Amino acid sequence: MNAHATSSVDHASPLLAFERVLLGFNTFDWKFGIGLHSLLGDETSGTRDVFALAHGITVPRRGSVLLNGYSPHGRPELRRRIASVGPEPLPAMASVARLVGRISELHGWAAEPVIEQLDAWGRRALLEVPVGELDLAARTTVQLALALHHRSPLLLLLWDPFASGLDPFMLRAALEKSAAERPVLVFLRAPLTPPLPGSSIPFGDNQVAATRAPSRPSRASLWIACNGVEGVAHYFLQQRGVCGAEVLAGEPGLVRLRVDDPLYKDELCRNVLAFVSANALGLRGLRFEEDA
Amino acid sequence: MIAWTIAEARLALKELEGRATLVPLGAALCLGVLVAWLELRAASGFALERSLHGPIFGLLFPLGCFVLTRKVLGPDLDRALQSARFGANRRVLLAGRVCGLLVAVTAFAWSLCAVALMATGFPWGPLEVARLVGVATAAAFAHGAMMVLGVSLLRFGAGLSLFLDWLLGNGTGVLALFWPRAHVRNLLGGEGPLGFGAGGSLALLMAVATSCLAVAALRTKP
Repeated sequence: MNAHATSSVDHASPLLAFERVLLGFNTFDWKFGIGLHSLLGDETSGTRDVFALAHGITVPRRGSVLLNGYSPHGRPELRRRIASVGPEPLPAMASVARLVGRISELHGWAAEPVIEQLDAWGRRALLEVPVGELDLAARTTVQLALALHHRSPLLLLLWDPFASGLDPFMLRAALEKSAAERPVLVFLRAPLTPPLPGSSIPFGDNQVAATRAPSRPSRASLWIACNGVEGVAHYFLQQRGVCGAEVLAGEPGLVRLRVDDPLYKDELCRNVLAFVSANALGLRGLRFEEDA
Repeated sequence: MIAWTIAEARLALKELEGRATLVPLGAALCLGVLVAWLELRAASGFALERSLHGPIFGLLFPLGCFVLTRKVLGPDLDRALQSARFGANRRVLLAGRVCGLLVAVTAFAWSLCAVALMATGFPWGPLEVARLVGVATAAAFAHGAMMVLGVSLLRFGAGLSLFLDWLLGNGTGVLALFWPRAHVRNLLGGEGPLGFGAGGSLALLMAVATSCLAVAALRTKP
């Protein structure tokens, strides 16, 4: 796995630490403190391994993965403090209600808030469905409800949460709220290109990106859905290899851009608006700002 | 905890659905029919015994068992027990996986016996058939347990245990004492290791299988 990490988080008191962990042929030292982090990669980039290691499902061949100083592998009580949305099939219980009940029982908290959350999302009908019959979106939704209503998680690990089909802005707000108290790692399957010099990818504070496959336009919708509307502009800047351009941090739905070359402004506007329309994303405005 | 065990067993059985499992197992059953039919054509006397001793329980069954183990447990045990992320004890989940695997392996062993019986024209009476079912069940338990231990010991351990069973279980000396192949051969009327009788072989087979499962459980971190 080729990967690089950029960070804007204070790691003075990291909660999740990868210490000299061997992944593929490379050794990684990653520290995830309180905040929202995203890990980008395709199917072959080793993101599943990172997920399994962070959760204590597997142990690294070399190095150690520690949550608050302890390895979650072999410590069920510590694993119960990790809320997650995973890529694997769920335990094949007779119904989602039964699964929610069993997990609540194991953790010692009430199942009602999870059921109420599914109700609020308009997905109460899922409760009666046998777990083995859930599709990807339903499986992700159920796990998200469980993860967001975990009583006292030390860490949130979310595998492609946007596959739930829930409103990405609502989801992002919920994750940002949760990230104020703990590390939240979001694993995204995304087309990847190296970020432009000086640009900031707008999802999360700390991004660990697997730099493997070049970006493919067919996967743009997913990436854009994950990153919000500012992701559209960012995506096109990357696609076109525009230099001297930057997507500035803005509020949801409002994209702020700095593009040095005025020739790109029109093209960018056209492309962004077309994609926003095609993906039914909410866009309140697209603002170009002068270079300070 | 029982609910987690049952859920994991069902998940294990669900993972066996699909062509990747059904095609090799179907091919093994077809080969079982062919082998029994060829034995019948070669000499009608003891055709069923010969096919069970040799190709069916010596080759097709262990290979099928390996295919099932690979699907249910994967190359290593940790990766198979994904439900541990909800905080369930890994040993409880392992019990579920092993139950699912043993059900599947037993069903496969029974199916092989059934096709061999059919291909040779049901030469045995009900009592002998019941005994065969018992031997098939014991063989399934022992082979399944051996492969579970293999996977718990090292990555791709199921393949290694299959190889060692072939290599060491083929003989009748001390080394054959700990491998299911030697005892299953004895239970089917062949020569047992160290001159053990059928009863002794069955007891030893069960003891070895139970020990394998116990060691695998101990090696699995909670």
